[in-house]
Amino acid sequence: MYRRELIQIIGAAATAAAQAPKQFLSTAQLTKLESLTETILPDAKQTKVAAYIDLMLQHADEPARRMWTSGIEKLTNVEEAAREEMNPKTEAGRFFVVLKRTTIEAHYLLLSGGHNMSQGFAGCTHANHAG
Amino acid sequence: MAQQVFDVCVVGSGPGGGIAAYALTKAGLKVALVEGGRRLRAGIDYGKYDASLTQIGKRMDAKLSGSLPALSRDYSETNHFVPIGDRPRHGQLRALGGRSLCWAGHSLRFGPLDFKKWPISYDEMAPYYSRAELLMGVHGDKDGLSNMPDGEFQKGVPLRCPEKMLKLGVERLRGQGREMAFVAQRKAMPTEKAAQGRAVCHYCGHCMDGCEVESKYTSANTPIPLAMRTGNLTLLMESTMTRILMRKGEPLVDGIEYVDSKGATNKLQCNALVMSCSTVETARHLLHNGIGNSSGQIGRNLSSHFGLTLVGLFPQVRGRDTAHDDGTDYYHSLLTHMYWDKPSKDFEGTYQVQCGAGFHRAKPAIRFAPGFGAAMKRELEDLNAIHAGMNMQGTLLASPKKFVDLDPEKKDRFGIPLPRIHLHYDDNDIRMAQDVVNTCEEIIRAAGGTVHQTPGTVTADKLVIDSNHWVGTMRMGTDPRTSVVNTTNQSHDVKNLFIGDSSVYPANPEKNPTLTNIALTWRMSEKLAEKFKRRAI
Repeated sequence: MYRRELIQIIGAAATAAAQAPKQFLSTAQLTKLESLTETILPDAKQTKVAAYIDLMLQHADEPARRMWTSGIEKLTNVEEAAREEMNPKTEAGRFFVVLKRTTIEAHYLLLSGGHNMSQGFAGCTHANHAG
Repeated sequence: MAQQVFDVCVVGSGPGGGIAAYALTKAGLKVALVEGGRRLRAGIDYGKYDASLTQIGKRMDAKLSGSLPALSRDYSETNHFVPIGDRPRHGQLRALGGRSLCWAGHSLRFGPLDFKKWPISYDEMAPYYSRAELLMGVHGDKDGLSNMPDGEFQKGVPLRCPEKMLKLGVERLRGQGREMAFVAQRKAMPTEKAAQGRAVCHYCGHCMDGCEVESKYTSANTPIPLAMRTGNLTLLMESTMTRILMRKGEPLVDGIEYVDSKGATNKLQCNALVMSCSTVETARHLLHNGIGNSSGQIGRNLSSHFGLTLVGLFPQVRGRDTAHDDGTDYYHSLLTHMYWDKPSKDFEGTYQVQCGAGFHRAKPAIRFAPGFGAAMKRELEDLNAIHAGMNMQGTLLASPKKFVDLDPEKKDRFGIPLPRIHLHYDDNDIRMAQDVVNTCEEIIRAAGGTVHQTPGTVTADKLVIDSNHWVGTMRMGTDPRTSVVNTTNQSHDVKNLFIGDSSVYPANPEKNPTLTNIALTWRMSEKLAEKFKRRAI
């Protein structure tokens, strides 16, 4: 995959909901996913994590797609699923773990645009941190 | 195709092969560089966007794992070796430049104490280190350490706040008489002026994903283009060596046989052969061809680095600005000077601990806080801001339980037996790792921090081998009965066979191997060129 296409995909993830007619999840699934991601990580709606996940699913294989569509359906109570987090036993609990991690990674990636280039690097400049 | 004849054939274009091609062509020799992969273009065939994007895609199928650079996933060989024992790993990238495309750039000189276990001295190596550092554009601080000498550095990169806390902890323990030091990392990416046309680092923090702007030194972006400019290099890409050809009735290499990108088998003739395929692959080819092994040492004396990770939290730095944390990738600092002068009573060998910190938004180091919602998010961001990671890099004790040989049944697509890597940790390795855990916990607490993640009591199943630091299967020495090559990397048995990679290391200190590989192979190449001049080849 070439850089130009990749940048376009990253950009598309940020604007997919508004511009791209192509969509893997149904509108109802996407709306629910948007709600789930926002519940798990506030501001995920703003960074368009759900649209990004949909974009990934457009390129995913069938088992991954099935896992996600089934998980979105089964995960109805985030609080309940989160109680299983350390030892998930139900499908909803297992999906919560996957969704949470994906949401965290996607949110910060989209927030930074995949690239957090600094204007130089100052490091620690706090006198009170000096050893 | 008509058979081609060269002064030297170099097989493999990684850190060793790249510098060999440059030094030999610069000396006026006609060189063929044979590489199994193709040229990958920075920012086109790989880059930070690709890595970030596809890592998430990979995790979406619930096969959660650690970070995988896109280079490693998309271009690396898979199933290219057989692991035996304690989970050995082996990185291999089939591309021009090999693993130098996705190395971290850590460039530490071995010191005088380290060379006491070698048949050559630090003074012999020092000029080659200097040349290598200038070519590579290494940055670092002048720390004045006895066994990790300063070099030709561009300006160093400062520490992040939590790393300053680790430094504070180290200084407090030093105040109690402990022998250790905490310094900034030294890496092969320019910070002040362009090195061989490579731009200064712009601190995006994606070095190991493949530097998209070619700031980081690789074989593909520096020595190989320089070699091309001499007009003396023939670059054979997507060409895999399948056999070493010997002269009839003489213990001398005549050339190699290779399969090209179209699947055709070709031969090329050379007056000298340099093998730079990596510690595992070079040993594999020589074992397969049955040459250069009168000592029986090929594949033996295997070492690498192994480790485990601890994380400390430092509430003193809570609330700091984390907007520009990326720097030159995660690991910016180093706990060093461990057991250099006074060896441990509990274990043999030395270690260092690579330390990192910071909130890297494109790839946060800490990706878990329990629960969900605003409280979870606050905790997650706080953990990333105040944490420092400590990653052990200890010398794996060479022992009869660790070696490379050929699998009797499994072969690659060219019909060459796969290498087996045998790794069984010794008690010594466990004891060293336990010392690391205890020491790192002490440092974190001495700085007023808390231990967030620790392996606690060390067992072999908690140890992780470094897949890229294998050394030692083609041991250097002065006695042909106990070593494979002499002090100029020349085979004791086959006088026109040279080894240009880190397989020749007779002992492995705690420091990263690549800078020494480049300096040592540069030295080997000059010695080889001198032999040509004297008509000794």
